[in-house]
Amino acid sequence: MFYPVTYNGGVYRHDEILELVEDIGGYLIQKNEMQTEVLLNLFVPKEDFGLLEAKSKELKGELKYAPLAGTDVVLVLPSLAFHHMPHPSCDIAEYLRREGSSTTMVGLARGVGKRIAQIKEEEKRLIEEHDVALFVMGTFESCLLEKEKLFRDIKIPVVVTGGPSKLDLRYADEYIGGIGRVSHRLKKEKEIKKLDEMVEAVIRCVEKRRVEATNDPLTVEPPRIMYEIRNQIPEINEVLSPVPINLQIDGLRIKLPYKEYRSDVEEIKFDEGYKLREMVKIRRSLFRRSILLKVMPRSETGFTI
Amino acid sequence: MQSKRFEVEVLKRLKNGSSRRSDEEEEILDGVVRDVISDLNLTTAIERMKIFMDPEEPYFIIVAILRPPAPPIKLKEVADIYWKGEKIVLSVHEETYMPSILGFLWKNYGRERVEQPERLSAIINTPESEIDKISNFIVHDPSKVLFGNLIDAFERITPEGFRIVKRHFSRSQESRANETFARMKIEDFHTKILGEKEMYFVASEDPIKKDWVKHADRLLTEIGGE
Repeated sequence: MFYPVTYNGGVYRHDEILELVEDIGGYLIQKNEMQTEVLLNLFVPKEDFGLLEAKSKELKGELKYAPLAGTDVVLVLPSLAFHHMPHPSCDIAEYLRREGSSTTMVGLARGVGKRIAQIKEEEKRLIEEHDVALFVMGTFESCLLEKEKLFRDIKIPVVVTGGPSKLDLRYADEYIGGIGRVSHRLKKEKEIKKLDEMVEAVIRCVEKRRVEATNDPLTVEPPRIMYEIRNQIPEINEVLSPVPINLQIDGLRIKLPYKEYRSDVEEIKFDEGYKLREMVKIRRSLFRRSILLKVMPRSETGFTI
Repeated sequence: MQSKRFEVEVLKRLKNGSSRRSDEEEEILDGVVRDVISDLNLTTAIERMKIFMDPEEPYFIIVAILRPPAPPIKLKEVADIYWKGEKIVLSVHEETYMPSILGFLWKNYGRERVEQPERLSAIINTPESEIDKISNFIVHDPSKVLFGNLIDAFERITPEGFRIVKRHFSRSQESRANETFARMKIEDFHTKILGEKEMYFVASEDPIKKDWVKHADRLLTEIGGE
C-alpha cells in the first residue's frame, strides 16, 4: 500500500529526496520547480515513511500527507460561460490542485437552465473516466433538486457544491452548501472555510475508494505502470502537456495517440515477467489523443505484483 | 433609502401551496448583483433597481430606473488647443484619451500632417479654420458604453439557462405599450437609449407569459416608475 505525500522545500539537495524515494521503492508523480522552491508529489511505501520524514527534516523541507496526490478529479459545470468562470469554478479547481490532485474542467453542452438541462451519454462516459466528479451548481434550491437528473446514474462518487446551506440530494455522495454563484474571487474567511469543507468531502470519497480497493487489490499499482512507461516509451518525454501521464486511483491516462501507441503500451514488460496487457484494460480515452488504462483487480487476473 | 437602491426578492414555495421570501437565496443573488454592478462601473448609472426571481415557475425579472448618462466629453475639455507657428498645437491632460484623439486626427488629416513630438501632445499642420472642428470632437461618450454595459450586466445577473428574454425601455407611459427593443435594429439602440428612463427585463426558459410582464410592470411602479 502506497502513501501519497507532497514534499515542499528548497531546490538545493532535493535530489537526495528523489534518490531516497527511489531506494525505498517509491515513485515521483510530479515535480514543480518554482525558482528556489520545489514541490514534489510522491508515492512512498507506508512502512518507510519515517525514513523520508527524517530526511526532509534534515533538509528543512515540509512533508505532508496528501490524500489527493495521484487522483484525477473532474469539475462539471453547466456551461463554460462567465456565470461560472472564472469564479467559483477555477477557485475550486485551484484549491484541489494545491492538495495534489489533478483537475479537469468539463462544461456540459446543454447543462444550463432547470427543465431544459440535459447531459449526453458521451459526457457521462467522459466524466466516468475520472476518480471523483464535482458538480459546480447554482443558487436555487428547487433548481438544484430538478438538476439531480444530471448525475443520477454516474458510476463514480459525486460531490455537489451549490447555494443552499443544506440540501438532501438522493444521488450525490456529498453536498457542500454556501458556494453558489459567485462573481468574485473566493478569499473571504467564510469562503475559504467552504473550500476546505469541499476538499474534505472529496478526500472522503477518495479514501472510501482506496479502502474499497484493499479488499480486492489491484494487480499492479498505477505508479509502477507510470514508472515503466517513462522507461520504455521514450516519446512520453516529448509530450508538451504539463502532466503527460495522469495518475488515477485505479488506472492512468497517457497523453499519447491511441492508434500509434496502443501496441507499444500493451507490450510494456515488467521484471516479474508479465506484460502490461495481462494486467490492464486499454481503451481509447474520450479526451483527444489519449489512452486510458484501467488496472484489473486480483479477482480478475489471479495475481498481484 | 440608500440601502434599498438595489433590492432582491426570491420566492420560495412551501409545501402547503403558499410562498414566502427565501433569505438565503436572496443573499447569494444580492452578492452577484453587487459584484456585477461594481465590475461594470454602473453604480452611478442606475437610480433604483429591483430583481425578482421565482425559481419554481421559473421566471426572472429586473426592473430599473436609470439616471441620465454623463454628457459626452469633447476634446476642448481634456486638452489645451492653440494656434502657434502656422500650426494647431494640442496638449492633452490625460493619456487615456490619446488613442481616440490620434485616431481621429490621422483619419481626417493624414499621418504625414500630424506630428507627435511628445506622449501627450500633437501638432497638426492645417489652416486655423480647423480649430473649431478639432475642439468639438467627441473623445468619449459614456452613454454609448453605458448601454453595452447595462445589457452585459443583465445578462450576467440572469440565471444562465434563461434564454427567452423580453427587454423593454421606455421614456414615458405612452411609449411603453408598443415598442420593444428586441425587435429593434442594433444601430437604433444607441440613439434610443439616450434619455431612456425606465426599463424592465423578463427572462425565462419557457415562452414569456403575459402575467410575468404584468408583474414586471407592477414592480416598476413599486420602485417609483410611472
